[in-house]
Amino acid sequence: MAPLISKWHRELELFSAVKPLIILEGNVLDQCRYPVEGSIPEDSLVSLTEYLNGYLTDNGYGQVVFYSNLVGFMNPYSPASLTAFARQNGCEVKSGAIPAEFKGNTQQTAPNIIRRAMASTAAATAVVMELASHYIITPERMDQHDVNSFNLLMQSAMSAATVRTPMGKRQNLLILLVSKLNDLPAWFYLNNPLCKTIRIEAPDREERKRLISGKAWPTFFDATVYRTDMPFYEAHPEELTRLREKFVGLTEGLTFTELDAMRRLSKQEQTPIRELCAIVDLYKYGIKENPWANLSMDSLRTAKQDFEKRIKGQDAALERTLDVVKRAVTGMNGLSSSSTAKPKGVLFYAGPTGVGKTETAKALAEKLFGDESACIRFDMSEYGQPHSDQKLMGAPPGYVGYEAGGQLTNAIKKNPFAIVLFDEIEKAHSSILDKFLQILEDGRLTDGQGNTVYFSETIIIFTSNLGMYVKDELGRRYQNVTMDMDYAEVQKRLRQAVEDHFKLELGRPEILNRIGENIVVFDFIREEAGQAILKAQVDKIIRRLEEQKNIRVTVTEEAYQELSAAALADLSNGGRGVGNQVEALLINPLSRWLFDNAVIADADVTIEHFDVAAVPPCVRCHTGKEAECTKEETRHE
Amino acid sequence: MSDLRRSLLKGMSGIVADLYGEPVPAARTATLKSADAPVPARQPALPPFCKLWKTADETIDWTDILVSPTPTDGLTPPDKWTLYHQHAANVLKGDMTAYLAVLQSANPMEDLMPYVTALDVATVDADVLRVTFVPRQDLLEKEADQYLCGMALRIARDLFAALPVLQVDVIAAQEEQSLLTVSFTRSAMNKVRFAFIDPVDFVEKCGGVFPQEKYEA
Repeated sequence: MAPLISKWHRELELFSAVKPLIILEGNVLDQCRYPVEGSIPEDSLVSLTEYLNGYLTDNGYGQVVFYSNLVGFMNPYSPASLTAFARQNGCEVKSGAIPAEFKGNTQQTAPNIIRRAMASTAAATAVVMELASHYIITPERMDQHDVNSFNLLMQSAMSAATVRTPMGKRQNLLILLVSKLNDLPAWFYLNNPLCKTIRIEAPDREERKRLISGKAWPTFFDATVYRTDMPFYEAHPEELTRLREKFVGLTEGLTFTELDAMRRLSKQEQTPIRELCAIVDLYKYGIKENPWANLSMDSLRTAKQDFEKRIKGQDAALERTLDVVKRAVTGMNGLSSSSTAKPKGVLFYAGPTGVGKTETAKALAEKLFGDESACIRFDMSEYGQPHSDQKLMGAPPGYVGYEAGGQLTNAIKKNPFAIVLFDEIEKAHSSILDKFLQILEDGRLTDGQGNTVYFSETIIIFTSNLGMYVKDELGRRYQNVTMDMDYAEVQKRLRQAVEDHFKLELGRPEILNRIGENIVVFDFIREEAGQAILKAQVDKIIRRLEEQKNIRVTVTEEAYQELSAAALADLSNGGRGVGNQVEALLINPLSRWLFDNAVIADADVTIEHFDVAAVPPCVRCHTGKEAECTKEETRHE
Repeated sequence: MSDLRRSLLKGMSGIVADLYGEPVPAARTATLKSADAPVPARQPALPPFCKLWKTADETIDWTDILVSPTPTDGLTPPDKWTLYHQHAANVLKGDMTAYLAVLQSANPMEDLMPYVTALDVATVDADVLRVTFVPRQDLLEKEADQYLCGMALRIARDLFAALPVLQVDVIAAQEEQSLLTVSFTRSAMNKVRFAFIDPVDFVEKCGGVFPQEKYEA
């Protein structure tokens, strides 16, 4: 297998020959994969300092030392190198290090020692300054001693000698490791022809693939597991390729340190090779049993029928929703993208109010995870302020509420297998949409405390009433879709309105792109669906009364027709409107009648008439005990 | 000069005698030597076997050893690592010759030898090892069940730590009579808190067979 050399390593190789000052910035605290066979075995994961020690030593640098402002100069990997450095520069090694302050006026400060070493031609020398972000408080608040120290480092680079070694000529080298470039004074690196800045990124797909496919592969497993499982995969290399591809996808965005932790976890848990990907769940969520893997196919096959018991008249929307679930279950959700760390699915529910958008999300949570509470709902009207993102993601250090973390990140940390419902998304502040971009693209979010939560096991649902009303040329609002339009027309208009909102109003087409073709339009509640909702609600009331009070209520056919005509007269408020009507026309009058007639329990009640025109509405009932069927009317005086 | 030295040494002996209430030990040894007294055969000072199964050798990380010729854990001595590295590929292929070579060179049960009269390890296949040991009569006379089960358990633990096998069969036998036969599987040993178990119970759970009621000679 040909060596895979990272971009930053290639840059280092190139520029270490021509620039005496190199700043490595970015992912410097992470481990690195050593790319070639040398004093460190190929594909080993080592710290950046060990990596640099190996690389520089293998390339002819006789003296490689590391500096930390807390310890001084040291080299835990090659103490002989430190001793030679000390001898050459007139220093003394004490307890394995050469103590030296970063600031000060003496000849024994670190910048002075570095200046001498860099100018020396005795041996090829490389000085690596670790954690260089922390030598000064901030670049804006430097005192004269700080400035002098950085000046000396700059002078060191200017006077760097070229040394003849058995491997050819080598220029003495000063390398600084910083998390962020702007932790250093800008004048030190900007427009500095001696300096080269090289950025170290988190491992990309190729790097992760190499780690899992290269020499380090066996180290992911316990020896017994490896011995017993590997013959199968040697006979079926395509299976191994598939497994590795999946692992690479699931580990998108993770650092080498995290991958190494997974490696050790896999070994410790004696994970079989076929369950390698379960380790990602174990690492991210602390559990191995992924509810997605345990979904019952039989239960999913009947999902539509089950959903229809709760959500009426939304055939197309339910079908589209279940398509996303089926895609997730069959593992095809990541096929169209390079990352399988993305959420399992993204849905954008648009449509009139009260037509079952939120209810569908809850039904989905119950179907997938066995509990409605797995639907984590965020009412986005509460996040309309510019600073609202801090409520979701947590306040940064030093701000009030920092300890509490973010509402969204906390919820996902607690329950990573969930439906995340962002209700009425159009009411959220546009700055929050940036966070959604990250969630939809990378499937992860880091809260103010630095904890990362993963959305790769969630389905994200946005709901919105966008497009119900739009503005004309004069800025006047008018109803864009009405009950008399058919579903195809409603769908067309609402989709167009959602697209216009993101593209034209917000100017954020990239968010729309992440949602893709997953805009699901819910239809109005039409006559037939309204009837079904009414019947379900009346049946539920009757059933509850019988269960709780042993009162058996019967509604005569004529009375039911009266109720139906009144409740379904205006369906513009959807199912919720029907529910409101049932409350006003049936629940309130019936409870009033039961109370006034002292029917507390154990009775048969027949509703004969709904007087919907009365104020308040009332019912005419009789009980089974009244032989004469005495008809009573309840009416408040 | 020599008189002075003798006098000083004598003085020091006196101080030591005052401090510890007994003569200087070196003098006693010397006396024994000078009298040419016969030295009794020394029995090895064994820790009691009641703790034998609670510890075990460190697991050899064969997959790590396979990929690196030098120690990566910072703990294993380089010479041992190099030795294991030579065998790692074959061990991970289940090569029984490599198993025996590792057992011979690493000798994981060296520290158990004082507790047995004889011990023999054989490979059955890539998954199974069989160990036969002859118990020490004196230990057998004390707490036979504890001793035999503790030994069997410790032998299995050491072998599971040394080699990637799935099963270790342990047979305790004396004068061609089996005293205990038990098969330990790796899965049964996983996550067991050995410091808190009774070895006899554990061996019984693993299907241990005790053909004889009494082991005393």
